[in-house]
Amino acid sequence: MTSSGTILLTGATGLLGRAVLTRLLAAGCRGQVVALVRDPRRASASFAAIPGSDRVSCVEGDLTRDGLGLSAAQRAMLRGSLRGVVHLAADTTFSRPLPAARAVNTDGTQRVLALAADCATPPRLAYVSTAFVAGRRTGEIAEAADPGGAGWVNHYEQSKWEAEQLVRQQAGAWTVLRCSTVVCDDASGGVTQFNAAHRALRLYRDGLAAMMPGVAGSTVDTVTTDYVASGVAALGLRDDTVGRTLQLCAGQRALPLEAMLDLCWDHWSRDTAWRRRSIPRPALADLTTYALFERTIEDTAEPSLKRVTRALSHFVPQLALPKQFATAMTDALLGAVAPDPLTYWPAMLDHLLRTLWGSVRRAA
Amino acid sequence: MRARDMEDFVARTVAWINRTLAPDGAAVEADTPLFSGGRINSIRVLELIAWTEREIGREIPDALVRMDHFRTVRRIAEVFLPPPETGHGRD
Repeated sequence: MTSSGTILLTGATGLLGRAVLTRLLAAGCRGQVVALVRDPRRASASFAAIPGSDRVSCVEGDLTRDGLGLSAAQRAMLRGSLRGVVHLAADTTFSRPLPAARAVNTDGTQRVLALAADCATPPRLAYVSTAFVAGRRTGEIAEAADPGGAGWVNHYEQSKWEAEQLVRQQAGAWTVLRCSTVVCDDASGGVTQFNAAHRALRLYRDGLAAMMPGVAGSTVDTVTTDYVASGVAALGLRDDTVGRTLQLCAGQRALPLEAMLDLCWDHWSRDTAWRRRSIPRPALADLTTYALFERTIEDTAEPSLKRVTRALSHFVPQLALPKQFATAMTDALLGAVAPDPLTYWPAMLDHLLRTLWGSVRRAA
Repeated sequence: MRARDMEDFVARTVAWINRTLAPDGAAVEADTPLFSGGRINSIRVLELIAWTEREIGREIPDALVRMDHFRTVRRIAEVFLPPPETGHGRD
């Protein structure tokens, strides 16, 4: 851990970024954090309650602008004081066209690397990536650079894979931290940020997911925000993680896909009204069969079902590309393993139902 | 640069610092050392640079970026309010 000096943090205003910032400030780090944000006044106000926030400076910037949107004077000042960079800002929308995904995830990372390269003393760099840079690769996914060539399910995965390559080629002392799918805040199962995984669960509950990709050995690897944020803050800038690719994933504990579907079905069927609707568990199909299903929907179904199927198409194919993320090195360095999904999935499903997938809280 | 422009800049900057950067109960004046004594965390000079650039309507050349130039609000005004000398900037 870089205990003094200045750390640049990107993505601090997101759910994960805020959690990382909180842990960086609490981890005995005596240094200061510069948070690159789009709206400094709003960000400063939102960070005010975090212990140690007097050591945070919110500076206006943008990954898509030249020089990260910092002025020459700001960059000059940073060049002299920067000791670490935690780069986790990303566009995580799976359906983005490739140029749009690259603009933030790949080109934005290039701009962060350019700033780091300009520093008097090259800073330690922690790059927060996704476990799914492995794309269409199946089997065990090593805690190492992915050679590419297997293809990707969406442009988010591809743009993050490209950014990882830039980090390894250009950063002096780097650590790549790949995160699995975050489905809830912590062991309480509370969900602050809803994502594609939650939307897929809703479609299943509503009986709109008649078919789902999946084969023998398919798993659903999920983690909590608390686990990922703690891992990034603890490992990202530590001396013994330089040059390592770490995977903050459930790994061997990932839920088998069929067990996950059963868990949800059992949970929801406690509700008599839901059980009376006789909603079947989605039929599992390989990718070829699922593609035929998608084409049939496109040709014959009503617009709402087409929209549902198109939305799923950007990530559900991963379910039929069984992979297990290796975590032995990460677990050893962290001194902890990711929480067992069975300890938080039931509470998360309760939370989703109670809040109607966030709509109750938003309406309040 | 008219004296009145300088005093206006100083007044606006003092007010902004006291509103956004200075901790409660540690009011800053035109000649208060900003960074010594822990009144303002040194990293917040980045925000001070952004404020100054907005106020003067141009970027500060990186050759002029020294903590000494941000020592007090009056010092900032003296260094950055007059048009920059040619040859300092990189761009």
